[in-house]
Amino acid sequence: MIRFLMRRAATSALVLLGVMLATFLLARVVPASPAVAYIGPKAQPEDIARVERELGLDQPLHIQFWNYLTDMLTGDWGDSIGTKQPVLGEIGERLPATFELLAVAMAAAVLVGVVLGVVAARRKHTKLDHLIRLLSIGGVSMPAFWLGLLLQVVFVRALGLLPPTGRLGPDTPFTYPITELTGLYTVDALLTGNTAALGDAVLHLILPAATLAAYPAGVVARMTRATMIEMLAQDHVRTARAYGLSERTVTWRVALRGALPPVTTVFGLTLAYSLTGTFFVEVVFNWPGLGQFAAQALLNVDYPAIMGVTVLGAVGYVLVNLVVDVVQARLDPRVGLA
Amino acid sequence: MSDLLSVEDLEVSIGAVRPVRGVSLRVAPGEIVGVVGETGCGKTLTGLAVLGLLPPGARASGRVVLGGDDVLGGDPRAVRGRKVTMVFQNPGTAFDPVTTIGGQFARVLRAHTGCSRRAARARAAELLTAVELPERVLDNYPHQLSGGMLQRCMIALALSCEPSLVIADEATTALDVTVARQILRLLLRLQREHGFGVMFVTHNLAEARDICDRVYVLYAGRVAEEGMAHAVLDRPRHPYTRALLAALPRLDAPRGRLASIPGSVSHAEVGCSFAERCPDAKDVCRAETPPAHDGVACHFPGGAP
Amino acid sequence: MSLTSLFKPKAVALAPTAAAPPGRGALRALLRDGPAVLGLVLVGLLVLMAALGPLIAPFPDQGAGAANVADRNLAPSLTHLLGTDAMGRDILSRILYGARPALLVSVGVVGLAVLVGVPLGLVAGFRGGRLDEAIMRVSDMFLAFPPLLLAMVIVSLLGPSLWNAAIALVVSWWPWYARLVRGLAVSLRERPFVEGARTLGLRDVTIMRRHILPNCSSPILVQATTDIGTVLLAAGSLAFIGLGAQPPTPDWGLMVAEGRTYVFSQWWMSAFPGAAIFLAVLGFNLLGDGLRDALDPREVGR
Repeated sequence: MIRFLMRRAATSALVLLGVMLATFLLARVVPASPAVAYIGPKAQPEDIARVERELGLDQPLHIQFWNYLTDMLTGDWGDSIGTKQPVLGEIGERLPATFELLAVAMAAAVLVGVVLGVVAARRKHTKLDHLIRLLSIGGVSMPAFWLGLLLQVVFVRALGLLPPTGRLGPDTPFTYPITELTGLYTVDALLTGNTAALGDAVLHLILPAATLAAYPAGVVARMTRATMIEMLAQDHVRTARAYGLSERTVTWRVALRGALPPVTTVFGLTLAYSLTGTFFVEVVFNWPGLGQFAAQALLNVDYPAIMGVTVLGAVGYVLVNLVVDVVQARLDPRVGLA
Repeated sequence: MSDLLSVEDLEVSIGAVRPVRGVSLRVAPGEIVGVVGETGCGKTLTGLAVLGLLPPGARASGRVVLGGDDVLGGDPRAVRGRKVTMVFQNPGTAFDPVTTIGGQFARVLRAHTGCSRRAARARAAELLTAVELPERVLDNYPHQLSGGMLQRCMIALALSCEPSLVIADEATTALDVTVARQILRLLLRLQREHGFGVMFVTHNLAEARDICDRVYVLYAGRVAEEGMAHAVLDRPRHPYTRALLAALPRLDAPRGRLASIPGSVSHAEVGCSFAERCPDAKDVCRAETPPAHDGVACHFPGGAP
Repeated sequence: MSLTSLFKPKAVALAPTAAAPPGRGALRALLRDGPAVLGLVLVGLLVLMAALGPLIAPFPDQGAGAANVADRNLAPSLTHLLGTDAMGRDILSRILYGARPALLVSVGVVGLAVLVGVPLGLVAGFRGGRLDEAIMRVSDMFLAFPPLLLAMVIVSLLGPSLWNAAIALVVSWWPWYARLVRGLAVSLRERPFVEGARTLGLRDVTIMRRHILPNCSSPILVQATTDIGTVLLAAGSLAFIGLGAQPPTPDWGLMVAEGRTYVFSQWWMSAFPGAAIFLAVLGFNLLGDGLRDALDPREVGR
C-alpha cells in the first residue's frame, strides 16, 4: 500500500510539473505581453519595460519558469490584479464555500444516481427504466447555468420556498453570527449549536447543490444501470440466489458491491468535471467561492489569479484521481497495488 | 418410499425454443441420481428449474415438488438454500470476486440463521474443516484460490444449508482429472455422513457409473432412458445411450478413428428426436414420438428386430 | 469530454473482429429505439433551424441583432411567440438565428478534434514505442486540467470571442480522441486479421487505413455524436460567463446571460434560449446513446 501510494504520488507530482509548465507557457507565450495586461492598454513603452523588469520578464524563459516554480512552492502566488490581495490568501478564503457546495452536491448525486441506476437495472426495458434513462440523459444535457435560473424562478419567485442567492440570508450574519471554525457554514453552525444559522445555511445550499448535482447524478445513474445489468447476470449472483439470499441482499449487497469499482471511476471523472461546473453555478447563485473568483479572474485577464486557480484546479484533479485509484484498489482485491 | 424430489413433465421454453420438453424424474432421500447427456440436452436447465433459478425470459411448466413444496407453483425462495442447493460448474466465477470466502459464508449463514458474525465465522471454519481446508482460507479472496479449493468451498457452503438435496451441475468438469477425483470422493463421503440426496448432472458417463445409484439419460430435452446406473450404462437399451457409450475414447481400444455420433441434435416436434441420427431408425420413428416404456423411450429398445 | 462515453465503457473498448462498417441492421435497431428516435428528431430540428433560420424568422433584422426599443420586455404573445428581450428583439427570431453558429461551432470543433486526434491516436497505438510515448505524454498534459478549465484559460488569454472559444475547445478536445483511438488501435494491433495483413507485407499506412480505422469507426462515431452536444453546451457555458460569443451575436448562452438580470420578472428571456441549448444537447446525447446500443454487437437480437 505504501509503495503504491509513493509511486502514485510521484506520478502525480510529474503531472503537476507538466501542468505548471503548460500554465506558465500559456501565460507567457499566448498574449503579446503580460506587462501590458498588468498596466492596461494605455501603457507607455517605458512603463512596459519597467514592469517587465519588475516581473522578471526580461529573463530567459527557463529562468522565468524556475522562478515561477520556486515562487509557487514557497507560497508566493502573486497578488491578484483585481483585488490587490495575495492570490493564495484569496483562494484560502473562498475554498471552504466551494468545498461545502461541492461535497453536498456530490453526495446527493451519488445517492440519487446509484438508487436510480439500480432501480433501472432491476426493471430494465420497462417504462420506469425508460423514464430513468430520459431523466439521466436529461441531467447530463442540462446547462447548469440555465437549470440554476429555472430553479430560482420556480422555487424562489413562484413558490417562495427557498432563498435566492448567497450562502446566508442578509440578516443572519448579524442576528445569528456563525463562529468560523472550518469555514463550512453548516458544519460550523452545527458544532456551535447555532440552529438558526444552520437552517439558513442548509436552505441556501439546496438550489445550488441540486444544480451542480444534475450532471454527475445523470452520469452515475447511467453507469450504475449498465454495470448492474452486467452484475445481475453474473454467475456469482446466481450462486447467491441459489443459496437462498433474498433479492434485496442479492441486489444491494452482492451485485451493487461488485458494481462499485466502475461506478467509482466514473464518479471521479464527474467530480473533476464538477470542479469547473462550480464556476457557472457559483456565478448564477452568487456563491462566494472559488468558482466565482475564477470566473472573475478569467474575465478580467487577472494573470496571477488565473494561474493560481488553474494550478489549484489541476492539483484538485490530480488528488481526485489519486483518491479514486486508492479507493478502487480497496474496493477490488484483484487490482494489484503494485 | 416417498420422493425427495419429484419432477413431472417439466417443460422449459425460451422464446420459441423448448430446450426441455417433458422431463420426469425423481430422487429419493439419500439417493444419488445421475442426469447425463450432451451439452444442450436440457440437463442444466432441469437443475436450475428445481431451484426456480431459470434465466430471465425462460418459462417453465409441469410440476416440481421438493420435499412437499411446490417449487414451480410457489415461492422457490422457500426451498433455495434450505432444502436444496447447487454446486456450480465453474468455481472460478461462481464466487463473488470482491468478497472474502469468509464474508460469503457469513452472508449465507446469517441469512439462514441470523447468527452473529463471530458465530458465523466459527461455523464456517467447521465447515471448511469438513472439506479438508484450513481456516485461513476464510480470509482469502476467490482469485487467490485454485479451482479445486474453490469447489471444496462451494461444497462446504452447500453443507452450511444442511440441505436434503444437492444439485451438482458439472461440478468436476472444469477441474483437472486428479482434482476432480478428490472432489467426487469428498462429495460421496459427505453424502454418506449427512445423508442428503444428490442430483448429479454431468456429461461424464464414467463418473456417473462410478457414483450414481440411478441415472437418467437426456436427449434433446427428453428422457431417453432411465434405470439403475449399472444396468443403463453397462447394458444400454436406447440407441442414443449406446452411441454415447461407443463415443467414449478407450485406452484399451485399438488405435484408429474415434467414434462419434453422426449428425447433430434435432428438435423435431414429431417423431423420435434421435431418429435422424439413429442407425436403426424406421419409418415409425420419424412419425411417432416413442412413449417411455419400462424406462426406455424407444420404439425398438435393445436394437431393431 | 468523453464522460458520456463512460456510460458503457465496454462498448467503447469493443473491437469487431473484421472490418464491418455500421450497416443497415444498426439503422433499423436505432429506429426501433424510442429515445434514440426522439434524439434524431431533435437533431433534425436543429439542422432545419440552422439551414432555414434566417428565412423563417418572423423578425429577421432583430434576429441579426437590431434593437427595437418600442417593443422591450414583451411577454410571449401571438406576435412574439417567445416574447422579446430587453432591447425589444423577438426572442424566437434570435433563437432561430442562433442555431446556425451553434451547430457550426460544435460540429466544426468536434470535426477538427477528430481530424487531429484520430491520426495521432492511430499512429501512437499502432506503432507504439517512443512515438507513442511522446504523443501520449503530450495529450496527458492537456488532460491533466479539469475538463473545460484549459479552454477557459485559453479564451481568457486570447480575448473572448466565439472564434477564440472554438479554437480553445479544439485545443482541449483532441486528446480525448487520441486516447480513444490509441486504445482501440492497441487492442486491434494484436488481432489475427491485422497480423495477417502484416504477413502479406502491406505497408503500415495501408493497414491502418484499411484494417484499423474502419474498426474504430463505430466508437468514434458514437463519441463524436455525444461530443457535438457536449461542445454545444460548453460553448454556451463559455458565452454565459462572458468567455464566448459577444453581443450582438445571437448566441443562446449569451442570451441566457443577457436575460439573467430580468429572470424574476421576464423569465422568458433566459428560459427559451436555455431550453434551445438543452434540447439540442439532449438530442445529440440521446442519438449518441442510441447509436452506442445500435452499434454494439452484444446488443444484437435483444
